[in-house]
Amino acid sequence: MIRFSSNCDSLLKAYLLSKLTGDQILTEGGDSLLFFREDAVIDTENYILEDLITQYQDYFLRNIRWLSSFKGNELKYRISTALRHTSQHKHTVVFKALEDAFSKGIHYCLEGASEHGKQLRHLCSEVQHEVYRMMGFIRFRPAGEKCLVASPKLYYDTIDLILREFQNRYPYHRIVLVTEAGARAIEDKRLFSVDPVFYEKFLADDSFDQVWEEYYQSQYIPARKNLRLTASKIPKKYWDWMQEGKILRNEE
Amino acid sequence: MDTRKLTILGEAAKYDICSSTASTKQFGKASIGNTLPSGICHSFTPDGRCVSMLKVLMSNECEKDCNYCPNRVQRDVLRTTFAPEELARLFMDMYERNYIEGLFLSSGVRHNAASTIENMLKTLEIIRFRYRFGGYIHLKILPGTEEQFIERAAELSNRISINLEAPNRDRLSILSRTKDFDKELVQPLRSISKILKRHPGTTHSTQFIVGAAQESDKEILTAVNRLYSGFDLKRAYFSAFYPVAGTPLQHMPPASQLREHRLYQSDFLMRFYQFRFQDFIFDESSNLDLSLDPKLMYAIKNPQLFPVEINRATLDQLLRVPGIGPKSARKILQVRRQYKLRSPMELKNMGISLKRAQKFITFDGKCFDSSRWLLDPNRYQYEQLSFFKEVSL
Ligand code: SF4
Repeated sequence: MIRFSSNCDSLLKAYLLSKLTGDQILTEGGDSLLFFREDAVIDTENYILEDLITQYQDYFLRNIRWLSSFKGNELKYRISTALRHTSQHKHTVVFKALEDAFSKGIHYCLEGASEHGKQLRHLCSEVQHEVYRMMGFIRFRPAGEKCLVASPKLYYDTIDLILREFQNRYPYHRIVLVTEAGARAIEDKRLFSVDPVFYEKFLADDSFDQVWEEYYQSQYIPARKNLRLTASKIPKKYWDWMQEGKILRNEE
Repeated sequence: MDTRKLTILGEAAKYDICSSTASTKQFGKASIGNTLPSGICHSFTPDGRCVSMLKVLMSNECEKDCNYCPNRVQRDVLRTTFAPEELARLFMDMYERNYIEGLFLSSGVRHNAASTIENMLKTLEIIRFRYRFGGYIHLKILPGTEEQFIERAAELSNRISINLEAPNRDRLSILSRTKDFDKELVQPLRSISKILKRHPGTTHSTQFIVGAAQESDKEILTAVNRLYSGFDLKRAYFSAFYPVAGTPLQHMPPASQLREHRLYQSDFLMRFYQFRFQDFIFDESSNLDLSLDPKLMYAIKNPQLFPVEINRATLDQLLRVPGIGPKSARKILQVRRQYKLRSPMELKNMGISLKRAQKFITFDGKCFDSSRWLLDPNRYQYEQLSFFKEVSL
């Protein structure tokens, strides 16, 4: 039985080990490990990826150097991003997509031609989509000199990715995001945790909300009303959280 | 804060349809703001349109008389003007809170083009130099703007644009008695195209009002084609005419949004699908078919080009297949390098609309739909196809 951690390197090592040893990977549901003797469990932590690649090539006489190429990095990026998803099947999807990449070619997997390549791309794009949406939907409140705070609604483990994106927009600010899972901040490209209680007072209503609502209303052309299109752009799950959600609900 | 001014000048700008904030131009030493190659949408109004910028007029006072416009000089409406300081501060407050991605600044012609554009440029200077803003700015060039102002606008903006509104002199004369097509619109367009060669990263666009001057689609696309090939235009926008109360065109019926959509589809085909103007099929009134999208129409009129073999077709050939877009075509080329595509499901997994594409392709000579159908076009079936995933063509 092969044990791995939920990161890209470990998953790649687990895949290669399974090919080299013929052993099974323990995917979802770690409890079953209890039935194995300690020496019957292969832990990816004890192996180096480069060594496993060399062993794989020697053993199967197949060149898998593409793993270190641009396309290989794209696959690793996709796996790392997909692992931020909350889906219970994400590890299974990754292993099956790896199988496609090794057997039918990296492009076949990356372009999503296979069912599992498609699923991997889907997990990854849902996570990326959340980051992209939050870049637009998050609304900050000033929290003192050069500090901005917001309280976004996140469905995946994207908080650090979002903060990094915002640092480019506000290079000299401290940016704080308060979520149900805690509060994280970025400043001078450094990510760290902060006490959410301190920032709560800044998250109360901002007098500027009114300005935004008036502006938002001024841009609407009622003759072209198309709420279905709007709902495809701002999914309804965000309507209670976003300020303009109540205007959209009134239009329903 | 008194929001009345914002409401009036925001509302007066809402028919301008530029929402893209994508830009590669960077402003050094910025203390706030950046641009991204893909742009960001911050909200969507109940009409489904993206709100990505603070889109306002500097002033809704205008000395011109465009028949469709809510700001025309003869219309009885509350007039107001932003002071440069005031607008710059408002913009920065909205940007800092992440309500918007950039500024889209247009204006009525207040007194004359020179004094109005000077005020607009003053606003941009405050934003760029006092607040050291490095993000996106789109500045509308007013009819008859002189070269020196265009040069300054190109320095300070990521995009500049001048609205042609109509495809040619004759059509514009139906819309306005005071606007001179050649002197006030084409001449500045020529200057923009020349000046932007010295400002890499700054792009320019234009907008047409569709259906206000009884122009045909062919006239519009002829103008667009000329702008892409001779003026380095980045993008053309189309806005279906909608009558505004208190204007000479108030009783004219609104133009169809489907017509606007077909023009956008044709524009996309020219920009991303290597379609040439000659490839478009117009009806006897020189308009595009409203029931079939232009790519499907092309396929029907050129059955000899189909079906194409998915494992051997060139990029050009793939781009002509309904349901296959530039991204999908490139994916097919990539996969083909290592693996022979065998089943329609593989294309479906790659995000291709099989319902549209399947009739036009083979897999290793095998057609998974009737190719005879191509030789005997049945309009009803084609119209059904037209409903599937139209946006990606
Ligand atoms: S010049 Fe512009 S603002 Fe003035 S009337 Fe014409 S379209 Fe309207």
